[in-house]
Amino acid sequence: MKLNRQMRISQWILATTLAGLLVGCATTVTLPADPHLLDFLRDGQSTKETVVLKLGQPSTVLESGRILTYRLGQEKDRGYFVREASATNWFELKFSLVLVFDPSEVLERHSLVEVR
Amino acid sequence: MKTYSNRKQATTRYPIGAPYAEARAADAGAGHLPSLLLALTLLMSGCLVVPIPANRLVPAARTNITPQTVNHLGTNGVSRTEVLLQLGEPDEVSLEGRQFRYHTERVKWDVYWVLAGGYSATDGIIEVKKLYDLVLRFDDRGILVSGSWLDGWLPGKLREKARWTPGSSGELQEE
Repeated sequence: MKLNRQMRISQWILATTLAGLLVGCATTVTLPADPHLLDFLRDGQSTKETVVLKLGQPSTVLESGRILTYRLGQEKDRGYFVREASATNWFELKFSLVLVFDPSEVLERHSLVEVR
Repeated sequence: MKTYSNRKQATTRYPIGAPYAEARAADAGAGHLPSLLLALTLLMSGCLVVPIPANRLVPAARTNITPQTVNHLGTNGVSRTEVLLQLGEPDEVSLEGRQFRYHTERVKWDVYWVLAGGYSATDGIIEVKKLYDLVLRFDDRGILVSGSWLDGWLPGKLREKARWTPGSSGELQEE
């Protein structure tokens, strides 16, 4: 009986420690600012796959994935940076990048909207 | 790359009708006495409150929407995609993208307060913000069918101030 209780306590401690470690691993990584971050975008050429590989997870996905948006900031002399998808406001951000893809997932139109 | 800037729109003034202005002036006159009494009560109880009018942007809020924004989107068959390309990502999208909400806010008052008691005093500043929403609605084909401009002081309690529909000559109509 006593052994069972000790085992349960040690399992609980182990689970708590693991959970704590996982929370530590879950921190988001923001890409460093890059003045040429958006140079690869070409209407009629860039694919959705290339965009997601380069910019990461979009902040919004609309119309069944036909439209992706990203929230971008701009550092003086250092270029654009992408804010992580979980951002809920426009603090330190300046642009909303809107990307519209055709049915074959090739970039059809895009615009960099100045929101601030 | 096509870049849309809305800085000019953000500075546009929103016209207010004369009857509204008169009514507001009457309301303001009637509202002075309770405010004065409250200020006197607070002052006499060792609390000083000084509200200073302000009108500045909140750092975390977008600045590219105004009541006139909807007039600049166009009147004939504006698509959801076109709205996104002009205004950017909405702050909230309803299910199936039938409604976009663009949100902004401004600090309207800086309230300086001092609380004195005994030999000590505490002070601080409270920012009073006004909240604004531009709500755009689309039909089944993703075409813009109406827009509303709302404002208010409390989240979730905003009131519609103006409405736009294609039938109303493409101009924003005051409520």
